Amino acid sequence: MTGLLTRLLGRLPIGWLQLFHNKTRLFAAVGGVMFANILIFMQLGFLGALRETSVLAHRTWNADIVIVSSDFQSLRTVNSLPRSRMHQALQIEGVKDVVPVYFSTINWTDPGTNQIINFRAMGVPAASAAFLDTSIQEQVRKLSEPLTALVDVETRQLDPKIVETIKSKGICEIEVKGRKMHLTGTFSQGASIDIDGTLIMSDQTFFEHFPSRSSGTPSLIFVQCESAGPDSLQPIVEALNRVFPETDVKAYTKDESVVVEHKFQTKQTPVGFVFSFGVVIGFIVGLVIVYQVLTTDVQDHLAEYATFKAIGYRQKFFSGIILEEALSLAALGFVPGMIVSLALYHLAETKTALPMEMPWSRLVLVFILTVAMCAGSGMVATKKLSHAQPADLF
Amino acid sequence: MPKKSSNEFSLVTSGLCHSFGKGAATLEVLHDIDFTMRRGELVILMGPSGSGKTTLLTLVACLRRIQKGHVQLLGQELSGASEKILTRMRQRLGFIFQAHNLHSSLTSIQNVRMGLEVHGPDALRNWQKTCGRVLELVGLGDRLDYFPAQLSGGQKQRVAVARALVGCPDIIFADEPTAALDMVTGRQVVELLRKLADQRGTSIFMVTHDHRILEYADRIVKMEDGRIIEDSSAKILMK
Repeated sequence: MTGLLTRLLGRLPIGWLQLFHNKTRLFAAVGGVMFANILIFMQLGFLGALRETSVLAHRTWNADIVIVSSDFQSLRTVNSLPRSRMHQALQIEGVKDVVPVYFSTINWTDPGTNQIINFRAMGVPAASAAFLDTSIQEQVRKLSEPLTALVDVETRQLDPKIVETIKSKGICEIEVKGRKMHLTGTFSQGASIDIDGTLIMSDQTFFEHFPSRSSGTPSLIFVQCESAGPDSLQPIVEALNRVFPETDVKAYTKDESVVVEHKFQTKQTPVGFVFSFGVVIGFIVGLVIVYQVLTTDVQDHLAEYATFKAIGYRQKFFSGIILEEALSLAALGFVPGMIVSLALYHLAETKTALPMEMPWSRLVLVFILTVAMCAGSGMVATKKLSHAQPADLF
Repeated sequence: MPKKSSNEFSLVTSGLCHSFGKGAATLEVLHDIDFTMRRGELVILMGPSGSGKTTLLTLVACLRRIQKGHVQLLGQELSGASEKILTRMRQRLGFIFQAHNLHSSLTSIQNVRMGLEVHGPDALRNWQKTCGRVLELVGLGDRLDYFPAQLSGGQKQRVAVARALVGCPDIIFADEPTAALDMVTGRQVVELLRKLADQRGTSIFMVTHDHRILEYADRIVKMEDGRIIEDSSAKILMK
């Protein structure tokens, strides 16, 4: 390694040799970088899960455009809108079909496990084609049977017995707020931070469970278009927004609605803020640890550096040594940090039913952050050397 | 300004003064030093502690900025010289310090290589051979891959000497080079320097208290209270 670095740098890799000479300091420094890395990875992982799970529902929708009430911020706090907008939308050229969709939430206490499950209930007309996933869509037709619903098998804390009963008997009867509900099928979607799972039912069943809601006030309207290319959707969105009174409803393409949801979850919820803050804290912790290690190292080698300065080495040479140490630390800390984080992602996934994925972009981002963190600390650490005359350093 | 030819003299100072501190606390430690050193000359600078020896050494060796007066080192005026010029001048000098100041993470041969590396990539061709030969010269041919912690005080100081020699400097500045050495190795180090002066024409400027090595000097300069009080050929002094 030393030989390789010597050839690469055209000089002895003093920074590298220095790091490995003092093993205790090396372990402390690598541990620090690793710790900062794990902190950043975990926060980004949760932030990513928050973003990803908040739009799991959107991904199942068979909609090119969604119409929402004008105060719409997030699916979490969705308000209703007048049904008449649906008929107006149908008049627009290029619109093929529209589907009224109803959302609400139910807290259901499982009598078997005494566990409270926070379901999002979604009601759609049984004859409509509201889902992209054919396995869901096929089951929706059967929901015309009164008081039936489909349950998400990935619901957090869902008693596996329920799913088994549905599989073996084709039906599982539960009671929700004093009303009977027959679970007749399952689908797979996943929990989000604020919702444990989803129940899909017909609009008629939805009205049974939420007597205050009626077919006149859907939560969203799915708009299906004749051609779904982005070029053809944008004019329709514009046309819709022109037709509707500004203060009432607005239209988004499905992709836009995903962006709106992401933005709300990461910027406007406390959870989003906490995780973003955690990333910053992780970065600062790493910065401080690396700075501490590097300044101590500069301090310890001051006499040697002064000697090098006395025999004619330039400032650039010293910055090079520190930068070399910083980058070595970044690389040495990043790899174990990444491995531990991947293991923790797996653990978190099984514990919280949140999808913890490690996209390449995150690896690159965190590595760049780590290098910036180490290099920044290193640059500050060399400052002490830059203005001193060599004679003062003795 | 000295008018003496820079071919004959490796070092010329005139009216060199230096003070430490600011305002009322200012203390002048060097007064009006006029001093010359020829090529190939071994000059020993003596004097009680606090007499300004080390200050003079650091001034003429480009380690401290000149405040007042002139210093011509190898034909280059140091007074008012830029950091860039000072750095380039330092590369033509060899330094041996009281403390060896070896880098603890580098082996003997790597430490010596540092004296060569400062001259750029061309100097590094066959560096192992070059550095090995110099270490052999100081009697450490069998200690090439030892870390400083594995060497005795004398051996470390000899590595430092090798580091100073490896770049073939025009002048070697040595501050108490024998302080940490026993009589035999101290003698060996100074004999080595003497040989360099005679064979290569290297000028040697040495600050020392060690009377055992005075016989190797061409000239002995004595300082007291920031002034040169005696400057004599060594042979006269010895008598």
